[in-house]
Amino acid sequence: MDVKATDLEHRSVMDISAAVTVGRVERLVVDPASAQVAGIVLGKADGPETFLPWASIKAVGADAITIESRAALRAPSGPLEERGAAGDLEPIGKRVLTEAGDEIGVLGDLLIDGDSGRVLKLGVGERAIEGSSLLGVGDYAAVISRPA
Amino acid sequence: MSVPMGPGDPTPSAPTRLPMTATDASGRTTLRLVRASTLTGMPVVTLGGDRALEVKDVVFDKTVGGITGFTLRKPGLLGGPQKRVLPIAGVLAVGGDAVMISSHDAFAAEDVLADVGDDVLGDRVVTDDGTELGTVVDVVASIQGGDGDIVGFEIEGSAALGDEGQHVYLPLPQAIAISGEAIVVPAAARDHASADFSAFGGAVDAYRKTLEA
Repeated sequence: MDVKATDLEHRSVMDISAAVTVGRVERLVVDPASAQVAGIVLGKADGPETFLPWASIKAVGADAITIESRAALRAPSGPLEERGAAGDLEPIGKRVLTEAGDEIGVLGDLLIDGDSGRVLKLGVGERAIEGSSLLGVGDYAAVISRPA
Repeated sequence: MSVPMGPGDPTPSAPTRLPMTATDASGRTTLRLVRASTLTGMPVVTLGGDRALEVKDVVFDKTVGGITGFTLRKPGLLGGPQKRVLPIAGVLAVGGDAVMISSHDAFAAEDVLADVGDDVLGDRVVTDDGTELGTVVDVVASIQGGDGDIVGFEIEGSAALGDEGQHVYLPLPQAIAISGEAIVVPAAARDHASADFSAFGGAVDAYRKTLEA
């Protein structure tokens, strides 16, 4: 099932082995190299294990994201996850630049394949741009590979 | 008065830093010409989307009529000068909103760009038949593929161009004579002068084609 990034905001993450909510979606971390959502940064989590790798998600449901166990959570590791957790790389609301250096708008949303975490589309204003054209998401801009 | 006035009298000069003060709306044409003044303050952004630094000044080499790179500063009012510079070879593209680089590896030590405190703004533009056309207020360049070619000047025109004080864009041949005193252009360049920046790319093309013929 495809999901929008903005619809995932604040969605609860539930550990189904214990039937408890372990946190809520604070933001997504996108890995532009693979056009994938690398994982979810949780707010309101207990302790330093605030990062949920997308691969560890059991299901993205309408009301909750489920995981088999809270062992799926870990501390952010590496530059991408650490910067992502700090909010540097938040894609939503970021300006979108083409590789030619022209700003085409603001990234309003991402359409994500709920199973694989692949970024299918980038919503920029009224436009839907192929997720595969994403070159980078940094502290200043999301960069896409061609003028849309 | 001894003024170097001929194309046969090129005054050797080192790469020169051109101080920029104004930033205004970008001039976009299909040829992607940019006015140097619009580059000051433009963010330098990696393909990864990080803003590295921003452009402080454009550095160009008068002897070859090309941009050699940019000096840099940190973004914001408190942004101090930077020891690193951005050679033109490391520039992927200059758009209306950002200078794009592949990564921080594009930067180099500042001594890579020679720094000579002599700029072209305010220089008089004189034709090779001895008519003063005006003074330089901005530099127009085409930047692509790691090269920056100066294709023209914005000048504040003299009475010789009609309305004194009017700003016009003057195309340049590939090579011109520049001294600290004057810039000498072929007399024919004035026939291709244009008050319209959006049409200037075509004017440069048309003018340079006449030179090839």
